[in-house]
Amino acid sequence: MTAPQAPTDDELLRRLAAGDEDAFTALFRRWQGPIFRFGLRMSGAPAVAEDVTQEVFMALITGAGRYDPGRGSLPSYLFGIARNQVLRRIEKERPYVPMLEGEEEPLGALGAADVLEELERSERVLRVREAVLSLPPHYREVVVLSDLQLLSYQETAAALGCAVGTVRSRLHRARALLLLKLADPEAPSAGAEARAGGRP
Amino acid sequence: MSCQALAGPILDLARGALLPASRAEVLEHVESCAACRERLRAERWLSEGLRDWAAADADREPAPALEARLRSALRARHRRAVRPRRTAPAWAWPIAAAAAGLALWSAFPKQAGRVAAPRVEEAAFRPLFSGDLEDVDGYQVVRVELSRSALAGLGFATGEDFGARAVSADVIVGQDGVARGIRLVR
Repeated sequence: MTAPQAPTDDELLRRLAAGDEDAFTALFRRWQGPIFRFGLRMSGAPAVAEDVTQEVFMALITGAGRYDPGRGSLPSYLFGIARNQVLRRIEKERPYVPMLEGEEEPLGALGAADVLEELERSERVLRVREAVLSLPPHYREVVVLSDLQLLSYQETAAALGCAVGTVRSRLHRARALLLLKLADPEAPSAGAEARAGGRP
Repeated sequence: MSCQALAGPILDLARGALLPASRAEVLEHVESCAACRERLRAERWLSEGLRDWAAADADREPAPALEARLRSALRARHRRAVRPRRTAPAWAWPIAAAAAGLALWSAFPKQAGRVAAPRVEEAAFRPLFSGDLEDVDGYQVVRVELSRSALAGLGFATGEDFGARAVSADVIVGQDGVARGIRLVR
């Protein structure tokens, strides 16, 4: 006996357009996490991420019929709305203060080597996060969507409303900027190379 | 293949997104080119950092109360959408349109020298259609000035005691834009 298949996004959207609350709940539970984390990674502020999530799903409630599957997947559509909301807030609340506290995982009962490794990992995460948050928004959004939300180039392009080639070139440039900002002892030549204009 | 032409494939390789068909060619070049080897190492280091960040906040979600708030918003919206609409009699539409126009007009400063009559508000609104005014969900009260002929159309007696050319009235306008009730302000 096979387990019943979960309804597709398109099916849930059709039901939502008719006011089906269960369909909305299913869509919300499916996509709230990715949308919230997108807002969080773009802004560094949980309050902004929550506002953005609320706006995205309110847009779905008030305009479920506006989504056109022919123009991209539902996640691309939702990330597109989220992106506009985040950019609006970044613009309005600049300069914002990224909230990074309280997110470190407890080290627990680890061995000395593990602790060192864990500390290095945590430190790198912090530095990478700060570097990403300091990128200009049009570079930041491609890194967040492609490298953190793991959207394909096509999905990222659909969310941003630009060509796939634009996504690739922005990602390339964004990562070169990140390496430059990080200029880590572990990646010295990468930073030097970027500074010397060795990266496209 | 030149180092510059391999910049894209090296990035894809570091991100784990390179097609298998190109992989061997890129790796072969990287083996023999120190600069590209270094570039690949740096890109891999960055990819690892990004992966660790993604893993560190993979469980973060909005507060549970958000779902309840949104569901409540959906219910409210749907309730409004399915609420049966009263059918307005044909004569009421021109009156509603006139009321809206007059409301706009009344927002502008009036002519200097005009003497304002003392105003006394009627205690209760009169419904414009059959039904109870308390059933009106979400409304606005708009103060308008109506001509005697419009008042006559609404069933008000407009004898000589009205005197002035226009009479002020408060109109209850529902969320659908339809006037529901009226009271005169004399």
